[in-house]
Amino acid sequence: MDRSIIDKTISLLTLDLYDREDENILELNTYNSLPIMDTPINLNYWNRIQDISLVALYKATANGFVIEWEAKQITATGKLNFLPIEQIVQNWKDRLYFERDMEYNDLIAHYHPIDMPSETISCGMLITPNFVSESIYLHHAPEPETFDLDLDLEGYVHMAKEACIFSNWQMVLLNITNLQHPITKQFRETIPTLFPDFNWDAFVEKYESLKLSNQ
Amino acid sequence: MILSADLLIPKEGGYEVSKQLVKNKKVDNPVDNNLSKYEVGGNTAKENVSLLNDSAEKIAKNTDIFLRDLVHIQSVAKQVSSLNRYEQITEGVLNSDNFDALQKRQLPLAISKLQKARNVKLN
Repeated sequence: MDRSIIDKTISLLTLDLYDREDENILELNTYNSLPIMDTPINLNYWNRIQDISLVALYKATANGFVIEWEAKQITATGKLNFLPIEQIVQNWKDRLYFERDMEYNDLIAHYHPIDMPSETISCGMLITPNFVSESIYLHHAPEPETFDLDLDLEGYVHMAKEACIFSNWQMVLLNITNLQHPITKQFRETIPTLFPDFNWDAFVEKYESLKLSNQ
Repeated sequence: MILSADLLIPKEGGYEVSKQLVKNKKVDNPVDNNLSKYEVGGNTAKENVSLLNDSAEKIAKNTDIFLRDLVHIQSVAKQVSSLNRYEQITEGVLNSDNFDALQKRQLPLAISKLQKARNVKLN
């Protein structure tokens, strides 16, 4: 079976990071579990999500995996933490959001994180009984908002690779035109010191080309 | 354990004892010897595995290598006659027509990780 673009992109990301490790720039760790080999969760959810590209990826590779790095000379980290499917579809009320958040943003009741690189930042999909969002949303706990990144999962993984999974890269996308935002500023200043091939203009251009609204 | 506690109040840039709240109170702090009462984490110990003799699933469970990669690595390893070095598997991967350029970068890396893993042996 041909490997999906998402699958190949994650492999390329990992190989790039291994190259940086070989150059003694960073320390890399990866963790993964077995792939999905049968129906691992209740059928109700399974019927809704089995066609999404994430499930194909998890069947081909692993039911959840972690890629994380830590710079050796400066304070900088990066992490991709794709959760196991059973965790993704669990009820996140009282874990990621609370009753009061639903009064402010009713979408959050349907928010299911896929990538959880830190305790506060996660990115995921909106999954309801009749609908699975194409776009990936960002949630920054404890805020109740869910921000549309305007990327599908394939676009998200492409941008993760472009950003070398540098911490808070998803927040950079939301503030990509605000160069004075502390997170954007830190990202722009730090990432080229670790990844000399990184180019901000190419990063912005790539994001524009992958945005669902520009398709 | 014997516990004493004072209430401190600010005074002249520092603090002074206002009153004693608890004095020499004995507090029982028994050690529970029942292991099931403690959170000991979800990670299980890694088993020793053999690349040639254990299933790819078992090796995947006990390493950080994708199952798919292990299936490829095992199939190459089983075709090597007199296998005694990991480098022979790497050579087999690089010389095979069954893998694309990405796999020829990725699989040798996985083989290298297996070689470094303390709980994995070749045979």
